[in-house]
Parts: sequence; C-alpha cells; structure tokens
Amino acid sequence: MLPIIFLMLAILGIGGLVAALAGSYSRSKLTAILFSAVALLIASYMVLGALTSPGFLGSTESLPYIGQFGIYLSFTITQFGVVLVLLASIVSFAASVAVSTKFEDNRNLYPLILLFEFSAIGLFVSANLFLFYIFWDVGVVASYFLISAFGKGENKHAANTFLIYSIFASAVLLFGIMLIYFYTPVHSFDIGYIASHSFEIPADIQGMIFTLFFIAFMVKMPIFPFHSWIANAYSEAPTQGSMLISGVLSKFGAYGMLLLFTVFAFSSEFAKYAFVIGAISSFYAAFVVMRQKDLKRIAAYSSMLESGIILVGISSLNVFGIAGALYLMLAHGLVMALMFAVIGGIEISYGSRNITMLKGIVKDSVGSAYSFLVGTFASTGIPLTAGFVADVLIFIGAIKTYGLYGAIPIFSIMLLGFYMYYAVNKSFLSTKESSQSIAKLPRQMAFTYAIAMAAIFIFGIFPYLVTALFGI
Amino acid sequence: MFEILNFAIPILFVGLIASGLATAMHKNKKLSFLSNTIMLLLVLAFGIYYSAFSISFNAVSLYHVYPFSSFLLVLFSLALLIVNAAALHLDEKYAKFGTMLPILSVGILSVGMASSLLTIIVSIELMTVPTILLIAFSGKQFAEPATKLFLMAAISIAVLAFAITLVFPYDSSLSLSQAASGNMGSQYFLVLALVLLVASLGTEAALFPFDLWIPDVYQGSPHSVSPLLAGVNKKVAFVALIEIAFVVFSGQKAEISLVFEVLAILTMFFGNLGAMAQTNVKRMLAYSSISQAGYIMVGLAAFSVFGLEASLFQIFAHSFMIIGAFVLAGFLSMEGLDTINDYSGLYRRSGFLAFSLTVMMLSMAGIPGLIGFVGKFLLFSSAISSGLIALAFIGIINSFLSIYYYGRLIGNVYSSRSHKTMHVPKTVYFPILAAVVIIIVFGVYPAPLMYLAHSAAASLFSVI
Repeated sequence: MLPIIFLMLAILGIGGLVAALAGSYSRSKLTAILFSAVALLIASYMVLGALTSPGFLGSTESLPYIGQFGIYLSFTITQFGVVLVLLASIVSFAASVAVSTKFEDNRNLYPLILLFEFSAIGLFVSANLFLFYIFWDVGVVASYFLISAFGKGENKHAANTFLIYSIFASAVLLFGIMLIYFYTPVHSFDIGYIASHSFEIPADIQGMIFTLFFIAFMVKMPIFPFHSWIANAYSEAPTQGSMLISGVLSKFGAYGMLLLFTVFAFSSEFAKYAFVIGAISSFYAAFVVMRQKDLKRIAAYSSMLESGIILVGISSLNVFGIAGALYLMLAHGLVMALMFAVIGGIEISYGSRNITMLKGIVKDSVGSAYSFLVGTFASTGIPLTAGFVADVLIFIGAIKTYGLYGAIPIFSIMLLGFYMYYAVNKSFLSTKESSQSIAKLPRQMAFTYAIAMAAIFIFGIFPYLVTALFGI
Repeated sequence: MFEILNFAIPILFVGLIASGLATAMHKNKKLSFLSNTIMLLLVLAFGIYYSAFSISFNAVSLYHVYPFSSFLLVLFSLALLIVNAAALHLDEKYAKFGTMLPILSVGILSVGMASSLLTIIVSIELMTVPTILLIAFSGKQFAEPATKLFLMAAISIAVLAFAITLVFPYDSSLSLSQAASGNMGSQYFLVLALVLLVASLGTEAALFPFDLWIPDVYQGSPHSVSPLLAGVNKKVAFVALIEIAFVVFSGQKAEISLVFEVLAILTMFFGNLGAMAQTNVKRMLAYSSISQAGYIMVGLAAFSVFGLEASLFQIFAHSFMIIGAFVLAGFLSMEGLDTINDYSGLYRRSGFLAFSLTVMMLSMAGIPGLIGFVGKFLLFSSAISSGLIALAFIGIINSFLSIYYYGRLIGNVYSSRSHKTMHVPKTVYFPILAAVVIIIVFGVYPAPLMYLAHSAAASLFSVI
C-alpha cells in the first residue's frame, strides 16, 4: 500500500520550505493554499479508506530512526487520528485562505501555518510517544511564533505567557514519557506495546505517570486551573493564529487525554476525578465568559468551556463518551476556526471587536453576522450542527457512567447559550442602530467562513461519518 | 605504514606548534589562518578515521588512541576550526590569535588521549597559559578578565597538582589504566584527593560553587576568545574530570555519584536563576553555559556507560551551540548591540542572524528537532535509568526555567522595530552557518553521533 502518512508529512514539509523560500507574499500564500488543499484531499481519502476498507485502520508505516532506543519513525492510523487529521487539515486550509489586516507584507506566516499543520498531523498519527513529544513541541514552537511575530498589541506578553505554560507542559510530559520508557518491562515508546503492558508498571510509578500526563494535557486543553494563558494567547494572535491554536493546538491536549484514558488501563481509577475537574472547568469558563466584552475573549472562554465538556466525555470511559469527546473535538475545532475567522472579518470591517461598540452588524455585513450565528448554534449544540451530535453522545456516555450527576455539565452549556445569544442579539442582529463599517469584507474571508460552515453542517447532518468508526 | 600512522598525531602537533611560531614571525594574516586551518583539518581527518574504524593503540606510553579520544579529537578539532575562522573577523589583527591558538590546541587535543595523570595536568596547563596570554595581550581593557582567569587557573592547577600527589603513593606510575586496575581501597587520602580534584577541575568546568568568575571572564574577554573559553576550554576540564573520576577513582562510585548529583543540581539552579536576571547578552550566555555544565553533570552523576554517553553527546552539542552563540553575540557587540533590548528588531537587520540565534537558543532550551533536545533527553533518561528520578525531575524543571530567558531573547529578536539591514561578513557567516548546520543535522538525525558517543563511553569504561 502507498505510505500515505509519510507522503502527507513530506508534502507538508516540502510545502513549508517552498512557502518559506517563495519570493513574495502572494506566492507564499498561494503555496500554502495549494499544499494544504492537497493535504485536505489526502485526509479525506484517509477518512474514506477508514470507512470503506476494513484493514485501513491500524495500518502502520515505519522506518528505523534511533536504534539504541528502539525508536522507529512509526505512524499508524487510528479512529481518533483519522478524524483529527481531517480537522487539522480543514482548519489549516481555512487558515491559509484567511487574511488578517496588518500583515499583508509578512510572508513568513504561511511557512508557519504549514509547519503547524505538519506537527499537528504528525502528532495525531504518531505510533510512539517519542514522536508524539517531538510533534507536540514543534507545534508549540510554531504557535509561539504565530503569536509572537504576528500578533498585535500585547502580543509579546501573550506569547511569553503561552510559551512558559506550554514548555511547562512539555517538560512534565517529557518526564512522564521517560518514566514510562524505563518502567515498561521491555523498554519501549510504542503506544501499542505500552497499552498491553501498562499494568506491569509499578503502582507508585503509575500514579506519577498519570499525574504528570494529566497536568500536561490540562495545560494544553486548557482545563481550570491551568487556563490563564488562553485569553491573551487567543486574543493577541493574528486571525490565522487564533484559528489554528484554538482549533487544533488545544486538541493536542484533548487527544493526549483520550490516549491517556484509553491506552493506560490504570487511568480508569482516576476517571471520576477527571469528571469533576472537567465539570468545574466548564462552569468556571461559563461564568468567566459573562464578564467579557472582547469577542475574541468570549470565543476563548467558550473554547475553554468546551474543553471541560470534552474531558467529561472522556472520563465517562464508554464508547459513547469517547466517541462524543472525539466528535466534540472535531466540532469545536471547526466552530473555533469559524468564530475566530468571523471575528477577524469583523475587525477588518469595523476596526473593533468590543461588543459594547459593535451594533447591528447584520446591516452592513450580513455574511459575518450569520456566520457568527452558525458558530454560536454549533457551540451551544443546536441540531443540524456538529455540536449537537457531540453533546448528545457525550451526555449519553456521562449519564451511563455517572448517573444523573453526569448531566450536570449541560447547565454550563446553557449558561454559555444565554450569554452568547444576548451578545449576538445585541451586537449582530439588532436593527435599532448600527455601527458604520470602514472596509468591505475581503473575498478570501468569505471563503474561509464557507469552508468552516460547510464542514460544521456536513458533520452535523451526517454524523455517520465519524460514529461508524466506533460502530455506533 | 601503520607505524607512521600511529605517530601522525604527534607529528601534527609539531606541525601545529610550528604553524603558531611561524605566525609570530611573518604576521601574514591569510597565510597563518590557512596553515592553522590545514593543520586542524588534518587532525580532524585523523580523528574521523580513528573513530570511524574504532582504532585503538598505545604509542610509546605517551598517548592512547581509543574511541573515547577519537571522539574528542573530532569534537575539539571541529570546534577549534570554527573558533579559528570566526577569529579572523572578531580579532582584527589575528596575529596573536594565530600564534596562540595552534599552541593551545595541542593541549586541548592531547587531553583526551592522555594515558597518565601527568599528561592531563600538562595538557591543561598548555591550554590555560596561552589562553591567559591571549586575553592579556589583547589590550589594557582586558586586564581584568585576564587577571581573574590567571588567578583561578593558577589556584586550580596547584590544587590539581596536590590532588595528584596524594594519589601518587597508591599509584606510583601515575598511569590511568594502572590506577584503575590497582585496588586503591577507600583511604582517607584518596577521598581528600577526590574532593580536591573536583574542586580544581570544577573551577575550569564552571561547577557551582567554583563558577563565580565565569560570567565576568566570559563577558569581559575579547570576542574572539569567549567562544574558545566557553566552547572548548570548559569542555577540556570536563574531559579531564571524566578521565580521572571514572578511571582513577572507579572504586568510589557511590561517593562520586552523590557528589556529582549535588553539584549538578546546584549548578543548574545557579546558572538558570542567574541568567534570568541578565540584560547583557554575553553575560546571559555565560550564565546559560553554567547551567549547561549542570546538565552535563547529570549524566556523570548517573555513573554508567549510558550516562557518560549522554554527557559526551551534550558536551559535543553544547560546544557548537555556545560557540555559535558567542560568535554571533561577539559580532553584534562589535556592531554596537550588547543588551537584550538592543537585539529587538534584529530580524529586520539580518534574517540569517535572527534565524541562527533562534536555532541556537531553541536548541539550548531543548526543543525537539535540534541537537540540544537529544542531549537533554539522553541526560535525563540516563539519570532515570540509574534510578535518580529526583535528579531527572529537577533537571527537567531547570530546562523549563531556562525557557524564560531564551524565550525573552527570541521574542525581542522578532519584535517589529525596523532598522537598516546589516552586512554579515563571510568570516562570521560561515562559522555561524557551520554551527547551525551541526545543530540541525544531528538534531534531526542523531543516530550516528549517538553511536560514536556510545562507543567512546564504552571504551572508557573498558579501560577500567
């Protein structure tokens, strides 16, 4: 069979180099669009393969890398991986189409987008923890530069906060990975091998490993109390950066959490704590979001809320909860891409993203207003959007495991809904008075909205595309 | 035929000294640069030849070629080549540098091949004295670093000599391999000798608490000498420490491991916390090189083949990272950029310098895909595999702390203050490029270097 993952990573790597060496802004952008479109096609082919041919999931590709540690460049396509690869390629494609106002001259954005996509896809398909860590950190560095070099205003501060939190998570993660390596019977980084031998790790080391991993993934998702980097990082990054960081980078943590609870059998005894933490985190985010006036911060905290719900889904440890969590990762990644794109578009059109200043956006830019409405629907779980399927699956799973307590986090989504509809009603749809738009929405932004919205509706109307992978 | 090859290294040493002396006579910049480079290239070629075929032999009981020494020949000759090339721009006259460098490189290159304690002490002396002269001759403003280095070196050599005399009654041949084979027991004097030895070599190797002179000297030295001090001289002290501690005192495994563990922890914290407070880039690099010395000690504390392999890998890695960084900082200092704030907008002045600095800083911070990550990964793994979980955790926490100052510098480089573009001369461009290429190539594909480091470490342990 074709080494499809190596092909995809090679294409993205080459694309990144070409985009870095392309002479001008427009050529660099065109390169990024082309290469991420090819990656999107390959990702769609992967989903098709996973749905139609039975041997496709679990197929492994590997090359020798470091003999002394038995490390291979080995990749495998799992149910989780295939969905998240699709998410990463859709969001990266949308981000390379999008534009942001201030950095028309700066062509280094596009190599970074492709580098980020490279790391994300590599992470979601890596079959050993060593590669997982490498791609994780490359993604962190790419995001750091997206914030640091292209953001505006307080971006240096935001970037440094982001970096410090992220490197803390990486350090903790690395330590956990090393512990696993030296405490498995035959030293190995291979996820499949660890999954079948996790009970042979000594009990005190098991607890240590779980704590380290849990903290690292909490920082990245983010989950209360490790969330304070998100507001600045999401709001000071350029539009494309916010799309990628909230849409894909936060899924690094969520995917890690999925692996932690599905691969390491000993995690199940900690699941109920994870459930409580997830619920607390989502309520915390719901209350914080009500104090926000900046659209990007509203989106940032709503993203934190969804991360809490994802953790609730994972911690229910049954197929509905796990599949729902995965579905919510997909839905939420797409929603965040759409929301941040719309906010970027509004910033171009109105020069502001403060909801107390913005009024009646629907009058001058219909597209932005209704796209934001779709994003709000999807994030509050309205039927026909991807968010609905995800929430249904997660809460079926949670109620199965935790009884009616499992349903409590639903109220945090309701709280979010109250505030979001209030905001939308006030600044987007009211017709009493309207702000004056200062610039027309660029056509690329309309395309970006369309890509994200199409994906949200496709996965809302045909949930079969993902649930079939889990047999539900 | 092979008889001649066995003496190739001493012949090349004579050649190096001749090249240095000739430079003192003719003062032709290009000619002396060329002769130094050719001599070092020949040494490098032999080093690669020896290590590629794992050749080992003893020549007239003077020096001992085995994978450990071949690895160091490759490392030091490569590092000296880069330092030498960069000095062409960083030191306008070059005559003094061209004279001293080949002479001190004889000391540097022979320390790895030492087969007796006397060779070690002579090599260190041969390295230190020309370095002090090099700093002192560079001008009146360098009197302070020269004096500091002189005092520290004099005391450390005296202490080292005393330590060796304490060993003498138990090992009258002073030979490394015999000391290893003879059971020296755990006499009171030997413990004293060990302590003195660690203090003496720790001074040169920048271990806390013997490292307080480091920032002043690294910052104050001429730009052409700082890379040499941080990238090569410090590593020589580590090599001597490894040879003596692992071979001569191989019986005192538990004590050495404990002492090294404590030193590693203190050095890492001192370096990292000190670096956070700095505003001058060269001074920050000096503190960061102290913290890197702490990381190297983590592998030595593991006291295993794996740990030594990790330390050798990190010695190699850090050598090129810090040489590149000091060459870059020296060049920018000559252009008037000294503090971290001066570096803001460097990206607009020169994309190449900004990219190289980013690669070096990320590598020192231990970001995957770069050589520094592999080094740290090996070091902390080796600590865990020897059961020192707490040490590994402290090391990783330190690695996290270091991101604060590396990240601050990188953030400044990419801030959008606009400036005129800067011309980077070839003599600065190529040394930095060489360092960056080594950092990236062995970061992406570390297997060959790990193999060399492993066989070097294993060969040192088989001497015991």
